[in-house]
Amino acid sequence: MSLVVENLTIDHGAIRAISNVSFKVAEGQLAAIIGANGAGKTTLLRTLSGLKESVSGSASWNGQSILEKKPEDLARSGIMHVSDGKSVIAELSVKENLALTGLWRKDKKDVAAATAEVVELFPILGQRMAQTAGSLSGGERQMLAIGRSLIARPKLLLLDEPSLGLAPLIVEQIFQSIKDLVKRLNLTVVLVEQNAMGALKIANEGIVLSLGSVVAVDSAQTLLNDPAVRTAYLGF
Amino acid sequence: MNQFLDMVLIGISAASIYSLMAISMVLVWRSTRVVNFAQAGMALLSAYIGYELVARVGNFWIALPLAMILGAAFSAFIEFVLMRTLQKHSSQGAIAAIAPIIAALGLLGLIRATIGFIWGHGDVQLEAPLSKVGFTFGDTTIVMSPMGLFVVLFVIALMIIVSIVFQKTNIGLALRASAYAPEIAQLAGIRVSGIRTLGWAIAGAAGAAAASAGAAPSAGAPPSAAAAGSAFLHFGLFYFV
Repeated sequence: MSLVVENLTIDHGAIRAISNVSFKVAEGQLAAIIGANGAGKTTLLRTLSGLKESVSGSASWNGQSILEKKPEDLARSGIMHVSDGKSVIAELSVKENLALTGLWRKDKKDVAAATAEVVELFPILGQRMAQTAGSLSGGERQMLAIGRSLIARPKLLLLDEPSLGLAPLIVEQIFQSIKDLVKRLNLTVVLVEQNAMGALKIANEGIVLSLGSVVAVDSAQTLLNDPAVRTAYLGF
Repeated sequence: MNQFLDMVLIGISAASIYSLMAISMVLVWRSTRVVNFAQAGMALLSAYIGYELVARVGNFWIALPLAMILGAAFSAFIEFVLMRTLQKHSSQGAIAAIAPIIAALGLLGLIRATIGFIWGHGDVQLEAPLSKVGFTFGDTTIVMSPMGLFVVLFVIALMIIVSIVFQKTNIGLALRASAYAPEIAQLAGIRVSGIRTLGWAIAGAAGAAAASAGAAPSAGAPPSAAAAGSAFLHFGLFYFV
């Protein structure tokens, strides 16, 4: 199983947000897509999860095209998108937020098991079950959003800026749990991040986007050590 | 004192019907974020259908659930055909918020004209299945009749059912999630468009129940049957304009 994106072009309103982007992510790999604000990272992710239409090109998972499918169908087939910032439903309780991905699953026993695993992974969620998601801190919300997606037993996880607005210590914690998840569940992850350093540290490979085009693809380690890439695109 | 009590009882009967109507508006708002100006018209149409059913079936107790089912079906149809089409063509910006309202206003006019066309513009009245004469205690007769009591209890029962469905069931959770954050619900694998249609259907059933109950006079000094219909129209037209 792998994610294959070929010559993908996407418009955002009148603007070409992504042009001719190609990359591959093999099963069990964590790929970080990094780039500055406005590089087209979120647009790319929204297209892969069915929220946005593409202009041309292709994207497939497991050999099957994932373009022109509804987000709920992609979610049910194991492609989970954790959108940035407000990806929990503030008005619902933590328990109800977690339950959303189990609503449509037939195997209720496994839903219960998966929920227990998520609580084990993020114990704080267990203590907050009855609270509304709106009362959680930023880090807890992120844990809830990731935890909710895990209950669907995803194969491919699309994470949009999980570090957004979080304190450095929490960011580290979130990144660490993402890394652990990839190993433990053999997940394939596409991680979109502005926090290039943090993302590349946990990623197997890095894809650098700039103004809608891929400017560098390499192993995360290589990108981290390449002074030219660092100064030109990563800003550190 | 007696008069005071009577007015309170009349108020309770009328208010319970209005609150049911309000529930149907809130259901639509909460499941699709549309202020449905046509809600009153849709309920009114359901009441006329109920009237027609009572005339044909001859039994209010059969006509009421039938009117509710038809009201649900009509409401779901409107969501499916009208609202979904609008949403498909304008999903962002101010127009996306305004277009459904304009469409609902148009629908309201269409429904009123259709009702006039089929049933005329005069008032109709559903035959109340229970006595309209108030309960008697000793030598005083209060204004609350068996029919009035039925309406109040019926509305309370429906409210309890709706709140249980919304708060305690999976369907209710999907409805709330789709209303609060459709995109997140979709990404969690919930078929939001189907859930929205369902929200409209439940609202349609509640509206039909309200209008049917309202169109059957229940008190000695009734909110005259016709008034139920026109009151709903006012409800729709003026409370939100």
